[in-house]
Amino acid sequence: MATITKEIKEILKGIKSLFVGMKITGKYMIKPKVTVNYPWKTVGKEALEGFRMVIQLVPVPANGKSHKCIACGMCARSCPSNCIKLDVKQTVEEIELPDGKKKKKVNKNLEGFYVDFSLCSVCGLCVEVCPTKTLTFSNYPYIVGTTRNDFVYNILEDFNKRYGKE
Amino acid sequence: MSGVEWTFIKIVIGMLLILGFIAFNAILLGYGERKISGFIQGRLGPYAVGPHGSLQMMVDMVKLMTKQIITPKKADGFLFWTAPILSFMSVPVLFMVIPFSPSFTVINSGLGIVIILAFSGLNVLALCIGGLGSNNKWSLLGAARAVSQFIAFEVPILLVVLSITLMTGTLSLSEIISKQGGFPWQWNIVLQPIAFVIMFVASLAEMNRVPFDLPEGESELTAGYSTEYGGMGFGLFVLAEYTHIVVASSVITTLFLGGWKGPVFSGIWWFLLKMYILCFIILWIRWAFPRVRFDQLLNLSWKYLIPAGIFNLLATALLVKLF
Repeated sequence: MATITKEIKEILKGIKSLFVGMKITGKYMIKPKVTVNYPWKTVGKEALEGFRMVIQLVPVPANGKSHKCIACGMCARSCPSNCIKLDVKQTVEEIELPDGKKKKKVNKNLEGFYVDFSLCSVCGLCVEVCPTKTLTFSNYPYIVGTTRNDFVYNILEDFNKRYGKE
Repeated sequence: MSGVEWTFIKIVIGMLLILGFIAFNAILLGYGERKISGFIQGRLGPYAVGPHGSLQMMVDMVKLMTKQIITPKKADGFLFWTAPILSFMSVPVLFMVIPFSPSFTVINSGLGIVIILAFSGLNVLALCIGGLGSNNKWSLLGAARAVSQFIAFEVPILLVVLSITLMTGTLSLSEIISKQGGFPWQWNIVLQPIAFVIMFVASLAEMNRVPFDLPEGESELTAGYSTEYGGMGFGLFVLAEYTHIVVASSVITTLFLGGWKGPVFSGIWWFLLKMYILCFIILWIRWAFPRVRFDQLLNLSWKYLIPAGIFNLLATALLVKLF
């Protein structure tokens, strides 16, 4: 007798679970949709908050025109996929210290900052390691290209274009 | 015109209307299925072709029809191509006897329900020879599953139909409707609730819908019996599957939900309304429940539905004798 009541209880529980499943899916059916009709509509800016795309240089808040990159190369060295290449021009000049001694000073000038996004795994090590906090992720997701070279970005040039230096 | 000629013309016109109705329903249900699946998963579903993607199925049909027809090298060509044709061939006959409204019945047969049961049985033969002729292990397994599933679930359907027949004393679908009233409490579902549940579950299993879609179970058997089919061969199977959904909904509407009778303005619209609500629930179920295991499927039929059906039949017989 006990087994029969147990069996009946099982059956009733099963039937109840069917209605629970129908209720949950029914609720989702009438809920607003989370996707958008992509090529015609795109998501707003707030939906892309925190989205990681190719890294970019941050302007200095004071003037908004220059960046603080010192071309130290920490980002290139920390990159696990070796996708960052820095084009640095070194100039050596002799300067006179106040006490009369002469000293060589090395000036590093950033000429190009190349990121191969087809290799990048957006791990964020370069952003974390940057001593002057001048790297950050951009969040424009709609990129497309027909060759591999389309995904090699010169982010210095992009920075100059955007913030109008030179 | 003599009576025979008139009947012949009526059958031809009815056949053409039915073919149009089948194509219309396949498009409607195909679109509905994709939209409903999208909505339940928080997506928009097809959206590109036509307003809200409503012409998507037309484009899909063109694609299916213009595809190259490929027969696998080691398949049995005759069996392989008989299967989809046979699967679709039996389908228009099913609509012949369904009484959409008093004037909208092609053949007002006294044996309507028997014809439907007999011709819907041809579908499983098509699946069987399709799976056998494909010369593919997945197809063969799918076909074997289809046959054993069909045999298991044909029995409860017959028991249910028998109890309805005992109650109404007729096998004619239009007479079964005419014995029911327009209001919900006059329908057979009130007198035979167990029969309705059995019929609904067994119909789902008979037409291989989720959660009983083991013959084509995508995750285990790639696509089961239809693995080797492409283009219109596959299209005919899909067309037959969607039509079986419509036929099953129509039969349940006829037997349990009062057919074309409604509280006001009885007519074909009540039939179509009830039928499409049932179709909607069947499509909805597909995205709500996971697939059952095969032993669970057979247990459901042989351990629960058939004993319940026999009990229901005996109780019905007793009550019919008493009152």
